[in-house]
Amino acid sequence: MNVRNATVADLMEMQNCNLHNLPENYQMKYYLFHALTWTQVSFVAEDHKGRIVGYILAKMDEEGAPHGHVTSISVLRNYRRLGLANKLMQRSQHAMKTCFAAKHVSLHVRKTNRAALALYKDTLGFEVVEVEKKYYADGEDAYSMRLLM
Amino acid sequence: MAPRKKPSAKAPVKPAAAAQATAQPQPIVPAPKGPVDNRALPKKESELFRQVLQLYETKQFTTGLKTVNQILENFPDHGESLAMKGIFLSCTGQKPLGYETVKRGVAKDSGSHIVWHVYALILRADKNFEEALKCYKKAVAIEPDSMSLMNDLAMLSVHLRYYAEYAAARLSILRSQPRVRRNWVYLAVAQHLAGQHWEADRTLTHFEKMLRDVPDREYEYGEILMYHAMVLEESGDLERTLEFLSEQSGQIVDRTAYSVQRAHILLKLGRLEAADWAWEVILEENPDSYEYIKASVLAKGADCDAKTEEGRAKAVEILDKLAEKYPRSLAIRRISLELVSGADFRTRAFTYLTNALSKGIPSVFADIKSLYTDKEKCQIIGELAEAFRQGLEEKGNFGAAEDDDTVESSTTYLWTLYFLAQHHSALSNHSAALSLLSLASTHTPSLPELHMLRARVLKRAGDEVGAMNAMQEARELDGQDRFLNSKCAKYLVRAEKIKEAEEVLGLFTKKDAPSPLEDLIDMQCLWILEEEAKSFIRQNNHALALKRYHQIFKTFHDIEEDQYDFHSYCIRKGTLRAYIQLLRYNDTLRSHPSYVAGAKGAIEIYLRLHDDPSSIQPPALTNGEAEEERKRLEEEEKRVREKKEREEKDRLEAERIEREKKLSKQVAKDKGKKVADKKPEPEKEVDDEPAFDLDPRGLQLLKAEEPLVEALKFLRPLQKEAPKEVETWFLTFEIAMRREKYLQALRALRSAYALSPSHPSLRPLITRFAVLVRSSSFASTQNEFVTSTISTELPELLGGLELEQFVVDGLQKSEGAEQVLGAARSMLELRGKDGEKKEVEELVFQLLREEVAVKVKPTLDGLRLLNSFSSPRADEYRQLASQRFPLARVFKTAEELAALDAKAEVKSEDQAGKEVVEE
Repeated sequence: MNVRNATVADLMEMQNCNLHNLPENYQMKYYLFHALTWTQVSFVAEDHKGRIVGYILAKMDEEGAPHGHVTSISVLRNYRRLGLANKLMQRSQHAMKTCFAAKHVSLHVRKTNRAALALYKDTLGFEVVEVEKKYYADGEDAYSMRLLM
Repeated sequence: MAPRKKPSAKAPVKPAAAAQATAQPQPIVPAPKGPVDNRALPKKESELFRQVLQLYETKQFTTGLKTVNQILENFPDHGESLAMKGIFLSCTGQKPLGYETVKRGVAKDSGSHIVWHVYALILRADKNFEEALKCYKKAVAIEPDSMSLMNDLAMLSVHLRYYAEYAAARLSILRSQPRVRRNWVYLAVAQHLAGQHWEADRTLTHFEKMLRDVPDREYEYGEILMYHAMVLEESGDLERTLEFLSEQSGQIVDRTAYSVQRAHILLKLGRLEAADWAWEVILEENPDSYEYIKASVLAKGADCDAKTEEGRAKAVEILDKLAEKYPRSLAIRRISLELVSGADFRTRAFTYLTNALSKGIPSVFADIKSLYTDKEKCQIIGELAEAFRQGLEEKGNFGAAEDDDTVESSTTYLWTLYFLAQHHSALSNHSAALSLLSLASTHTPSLPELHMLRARVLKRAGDEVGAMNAMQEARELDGQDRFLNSKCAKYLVRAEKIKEAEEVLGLFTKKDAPSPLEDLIDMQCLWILEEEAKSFIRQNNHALALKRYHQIFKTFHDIEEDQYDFHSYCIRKGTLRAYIQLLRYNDTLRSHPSYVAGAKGAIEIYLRLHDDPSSIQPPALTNGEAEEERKRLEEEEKRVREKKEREEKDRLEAERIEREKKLSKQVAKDKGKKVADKKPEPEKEVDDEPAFDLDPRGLQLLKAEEPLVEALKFLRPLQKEAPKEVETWFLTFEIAMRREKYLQALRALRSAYALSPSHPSLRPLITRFAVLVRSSSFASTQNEFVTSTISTELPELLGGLELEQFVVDGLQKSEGAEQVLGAARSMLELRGKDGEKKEVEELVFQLLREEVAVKVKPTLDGLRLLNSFSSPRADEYRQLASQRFPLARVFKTAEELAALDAKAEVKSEDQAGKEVVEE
């Protein structure tokens, strides 16, 4: 698997991957907004034929101490157990640190999404900071998670 | 993950705000009052006109309309007032009348920049950028000192890719406002885009000197420097780029981009020692990047893309050392697998595969499948996998050596069966794959992957219903997983169960969306539109298929337009490298496979509508649907009627207010007091478009009066943005032939030939063209230039052969199913509608010869070809195909299918019965 920085040309495939995998989806303009503001912090994983099988879409948050925020991360079901999520996350964190002096990285996860929660907590080392009530459009709560770098 | 509600409301504030700016009123600069008779107004009206401009800026369109009417009462031919009236009308829901009025204004006073500016504004609001730009040019010619006009003109120039004009506009803006820092950056980008690298370099250098006191390592400044390095590298002056990078290194924040660019240049300059050092550091950072790995190998004097045995061996030697240093990088070892062969390949593949199978990596087959183009590698992998299975069954390990007594976990056996099933499926051994999967399922019935794979195998074998059921089972094993959900929906659509598919999709789409499909369309999901369109075609519902293709078209249109706001946003943010990426990506946007497929689908329907409208009937609506459709039409009529009434009412109201105002002014005057006007709230623009879809079933689309004109709308973006797709030229050919544009058709064939001379679809098209132009009637209907061009250029396409020979030559060269089909089609074109079809039939039957590795799809295409000329041998072919693909539903008769489905139903009822008993 090839892990590399995401370019504008990857965004439509990232969107496609996101739509297949996750319940939170975004229009292309939001992807563009990420890629054209914080070019360095989003990454993709692609297979030998150049098909995108995983991605991390990330941004910087200027509120408080400078820190990164993961808008979305996912790996196609068939491409699990390759450690791709971990590699994507590490690359992104490295860029957040070197380009934007980030001190930590945050993300949100649906309270009921146990699979994702396990990934962030056990595999990637995030900790729950607080519960954000009714964070999602449908009224579900979110765990706000954080990882110090 | 972040919900879309919050980010879209909060984060993209800047681009969204910019988006509104395009629709928001901008100040219109009053024209200097010159000695133009029909423009100058008396004092009172002149004051009113000033108010009108202000009312437009503050979005008080209705009041503006009333005020401008006061001027027009006395000066009905005042051009600028007419233009303003037009834009007010356009903003208050009377677009057609608005346009008409603006145009009248332009006609009355074409020397005023205001009328052109207003015209440009309404065109731009309508996204008619090309025409808007023309109007801006007129306005700027009259009023060259207005920066706001020049800015708008510049923005449209870059959006439409008129880079030379963009550079000129930015230069004149900079000359007027050299102190605005941003203008320097704008100019540099414009020059770069216009190919003026040297000028861009000079502009950037000057800009960098202007900026004193940049704090150390400021991100935005660092980005400007990296952009400058990009401009230098693209100018071709690599030495200077290198110098620049090292001079500025301290200020560049994006260290990775800095190092990578520098290392690439060192490689290009052949400074291998320095390059090797540089790449070593970079690879350390990310040993999973193909780019870094391949460049590192190059820097060490070898090449992963080497063509010679020796060159490959050298690359492998280096890769092995890298693999030792980075044991966790799978990418390095995967690249080696491409380069080795024979026994070496066997050893490496053994390690690669056993590692993956022990870890239970589901994707390992997908990962190595591209090696199968090499027959030897395919065979070795098959042998290895078979040996793994045997070893695991007999000794519980992979059987690396006789005395190997390690014991693998039982899931390793499962993943090995899974791998082996994929191997057989890839070789079209569907039954072998299915029996391996059933063995695996008895081992672990609850693994969704096994059911997913069974679904794929059945799909390839042509059993869409079985595939759908298998995918349903996979989904039911993990209802929380959207991936399984999406796949299941896709398979439902492929079995024409669209309603059911949308219900399944609805488990994950937004609950407050009007329907699951509408949420997906809103989220720009392309696969569902593509799949549904194909399904509707299979169901003979061309109206809805066309609808879905238009929805794909619109999605791409929206994505293209997204870039508009970034022309200014990226300059502010300094993210110029990414901005250049954006523009370049948009230049080839429509080469995206979903657009190509969507355009092809739509054009094919329009071609049928053109050729034989009776072959496409609007779908029969159920009673309920017909009722809905009737209501919709009524509603539309009502809407139009109400709009007219509203306009009339507005007019009367305006007149009434006018009268009252005059009266109250009189009263105020009499009393010597001013009437205090309450400042009204800005009004919302009234959108002319209805909020609901007027044609949800595509019935209106099917009524296209000029199908070829509609087809061209899908084709043009392909020609512009996907000229390297051979399909673009096939479609161009089909449309050109029907429009009797024979030189265009010829050019299309030549373009396709240049891209892919042996493409199986090309030969039949060349044949059709050659048959037409040699007919006696052709020359008499065409002019000299056309016929002489054709006779000079066609021979090359025919490979220097006579037409008959060209077709026969195709038969001899045909290997593989697609080529055989191409040859058959070519023969059919030659023989014509009424000609002898024996050879065509024989060719199609060749598809079913044992040695041809044919799949279901081309076999079906063969059947369709036979049916297209009502071949008496079609049923014979169908039966043979059915023997070859016993599971494929498309080769079964209606009775056979009915019997099959009845059997399945009984079986599932049995199953249900059993479950009840078990409960």
